[in-house]
Amino acid sequence: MARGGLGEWAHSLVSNLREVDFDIFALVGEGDKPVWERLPNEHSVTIVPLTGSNYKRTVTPRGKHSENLALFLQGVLKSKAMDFATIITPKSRVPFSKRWLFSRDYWRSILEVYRETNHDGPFTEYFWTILGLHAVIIDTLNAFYRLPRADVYHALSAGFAGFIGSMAKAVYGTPLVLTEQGLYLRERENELKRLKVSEWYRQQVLSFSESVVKTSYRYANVVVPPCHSHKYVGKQYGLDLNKVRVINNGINCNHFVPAPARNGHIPIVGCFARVVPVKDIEILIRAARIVCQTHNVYFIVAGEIQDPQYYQECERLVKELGLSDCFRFRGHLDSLTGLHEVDIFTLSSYSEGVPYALLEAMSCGLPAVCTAVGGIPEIIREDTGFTVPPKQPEALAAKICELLDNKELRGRMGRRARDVAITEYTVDMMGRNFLNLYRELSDGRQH
Amino acid sequence: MGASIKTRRIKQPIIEHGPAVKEALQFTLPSVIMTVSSILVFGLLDGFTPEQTNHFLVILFLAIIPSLLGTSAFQIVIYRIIDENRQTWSGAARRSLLMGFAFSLLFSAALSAVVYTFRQFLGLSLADFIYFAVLLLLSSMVWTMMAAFWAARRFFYPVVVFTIGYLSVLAITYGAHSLDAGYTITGYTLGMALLLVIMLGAAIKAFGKDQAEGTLQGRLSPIYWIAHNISLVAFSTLYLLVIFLDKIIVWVYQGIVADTGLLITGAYTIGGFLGLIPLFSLVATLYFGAATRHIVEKRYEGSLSEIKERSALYLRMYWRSLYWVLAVWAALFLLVAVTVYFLLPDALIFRTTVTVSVGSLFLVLILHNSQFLTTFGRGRISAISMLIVVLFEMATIPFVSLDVWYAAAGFLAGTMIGYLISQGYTWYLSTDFEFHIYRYAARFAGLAWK
Repeated sequence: MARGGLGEWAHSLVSNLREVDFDIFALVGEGDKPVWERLPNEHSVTIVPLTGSNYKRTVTPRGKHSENLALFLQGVLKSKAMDFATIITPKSRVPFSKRWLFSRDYWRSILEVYRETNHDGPFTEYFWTILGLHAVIIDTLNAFYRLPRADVYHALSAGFAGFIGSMAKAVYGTPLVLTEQGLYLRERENELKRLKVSEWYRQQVLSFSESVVKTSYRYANVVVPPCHSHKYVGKQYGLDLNKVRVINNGINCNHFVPAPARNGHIPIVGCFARVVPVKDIEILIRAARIVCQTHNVYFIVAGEIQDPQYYQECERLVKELGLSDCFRFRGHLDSLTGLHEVDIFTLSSYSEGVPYALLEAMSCGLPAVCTAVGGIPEIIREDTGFTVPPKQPEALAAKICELLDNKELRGRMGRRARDVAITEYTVDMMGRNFLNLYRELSDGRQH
Repeated sequence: MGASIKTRRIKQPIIEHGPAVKEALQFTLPSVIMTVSSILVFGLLDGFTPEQTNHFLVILFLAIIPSLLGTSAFQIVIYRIIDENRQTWSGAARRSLLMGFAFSLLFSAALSAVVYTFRQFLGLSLADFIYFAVLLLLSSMVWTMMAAFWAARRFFYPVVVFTIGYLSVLAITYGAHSLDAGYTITGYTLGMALLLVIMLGAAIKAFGKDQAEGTLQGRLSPIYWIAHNISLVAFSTLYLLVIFLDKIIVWVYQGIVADTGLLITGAYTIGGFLGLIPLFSLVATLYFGAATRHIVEKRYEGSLSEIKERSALYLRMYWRSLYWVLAVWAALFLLVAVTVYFLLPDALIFRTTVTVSVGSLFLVLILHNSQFLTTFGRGRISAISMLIVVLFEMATIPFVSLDVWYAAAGFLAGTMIGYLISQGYTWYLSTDFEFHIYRYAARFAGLAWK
């Protein structure tokens, strides 16, 4: 649903696999609406709110079923991978009633965990936190009942998407592919760092997230990270490396072509990223200050403002550092048009997978200066750009300055970047790889 | 797994018995004085013929009973508005009083219009009707003000000002009666008007603009508060109704038989009201509510063990105050029964007194449990208990022609059944106290869940 790397990747995959029928199943937050046009091979699009769905018929688990569900939810709080077989069978056709969360079985189960983990803390905070997390799990379990049947399920994250895909695998035996463009747990950790919450609350949410991720890894037939670095992170959470198959992201290199040569203009450094904390734009702003002290240059950030509060913080920093004349937020721009305006591509994120924006920039023949996170070091070679440690504006500024001072270097790196893009990161290659994978799984060759 | 939350140990509440007893007595005292002095003064009205006595009482009860019933819902509104605006309670009290007065005016006008059409059946002359309408309005406004004083915890005014004021009413009534029996109702009406003026003066003092001020934050719509407290509104209205319903049934029956509209005087009325005296064992219930208020307010605070400690203390207080209810009731019952037996040698009076007294025990126990049940959001159980009493009382209508005592029996049977229901539910909730208080909170939060 969201306009970002993952949404773009998914849209790109579906539009390039016209021989495959896709049923899109989107778990959304409140108010989210589709932003991409519907494609001819999208057989159906089901949009399910992650919380607050109402169902005409529900069942309140009782007896053994109730006990099993209580144990299942206990496991969520203990960072364990879940086993759906105890709570859902192929015959189950009716969602759970969330009123079961008022039952004695549920109460006893959360008391047990409270005593095991937090016997002296404020009970009410514990109760509401756990109730909230479990209500989300119940909503997600129930969302499964709206999942269309398929030959292969493809979950785009190890979070709730992977969770529902895992249920489908457990109940129907349908193979599950799990792609991880970003690292779900790492993103939750970073989100929680920004929130003013107690350490206990942070730990609970992380345990919950860990449980969801471990479950996805457990049930997935194949896990497809976009880069090798992700698989080692996943291993910490029980990912079996034998399930891993790295498939490079791909872009349309025939569309993302280098801009015509331009001379005599003030160079522009472009960051193409959503304005959200994970993109760490504050570091870029601080780097821009250093660069602007010695160079006549513009900085732009082209990307949807998805976190207004974070955007306000960035704007305040720009004003504070006196960069209002040379640092601009341009909002969402057409990628090609935007990339043709800039001379250097940059990303200052503290967490990434394989950013589409980087691949597009390389395809457009732009040198890149990016933080060495996620799969970026695997993409940016020595002769296509520079990587710098995250959270270090001085290092970022230094490399940007190096490129600004050497036009010939920029040109050489840009041409080499284009070569890398068209030989390793085309959408056709990505599509072929996924098509082969789907065929393998649906033919039953992979177990 | 998990860091534990650092928490300071919460100082566990102790029960402050003194203030709780004081508050309970403050609440009860006006009713006790009003009842005792009314019995004494009305007993002294010897210038009346039996017909005049009945006529006087018809006008009185026709005004007082509906005013109590009619304003009971609005009293809840007043409590809620003032509770919601604790920081600016005087402004909230003034606003809610103005709304209450407006409601009293509308209610009195509407009911007066209805009574006017039944004037002849009730045997009321135009002058009687005017007295009735004025008394209805005055009483409604007085009860409205009492609610505001209680809600704002300005106990001095209902305890002292109202008590003294009401004694003045009785003094003026007696004085008027001494001049001429025909002036009695005039005296009572003037007395009530004076009481209203005194109370208004007290309200201006208590809720004047030099008290806590500020913008009212909470909701002020009476319809909103009634809709969100429908169980409590039903309970308080039905509670008042059950006290009078058996008597009203007998009055109507006797009036039909005697062809005099309502016939209030008689053995059943004496026994029926004397039998309510043990209702003052309510003082122990009020003590329970006052003593455990801070426990209830803090019931969700702290660790689980602290919550359990607090719950255990609450339950101990519940049982202790229950014993006090029984003790006070027994003492009052003995007092009333012995007094009636020796001083009012009438079999019907005695039977009725004893029956209504026993029924009043169950009624007080229903009230006692209603405080407990409200903690769990189960106010409707109390309302249902009261409704059962009403239904049992109404079921005696075909039988009062055989013996008017059956009306009292209906009251007793209804309160007994109502009590069993409320006690059963109370016991059920107390067996797993913490589970139920959190279940209530979760249900309240998950209202939209299916």
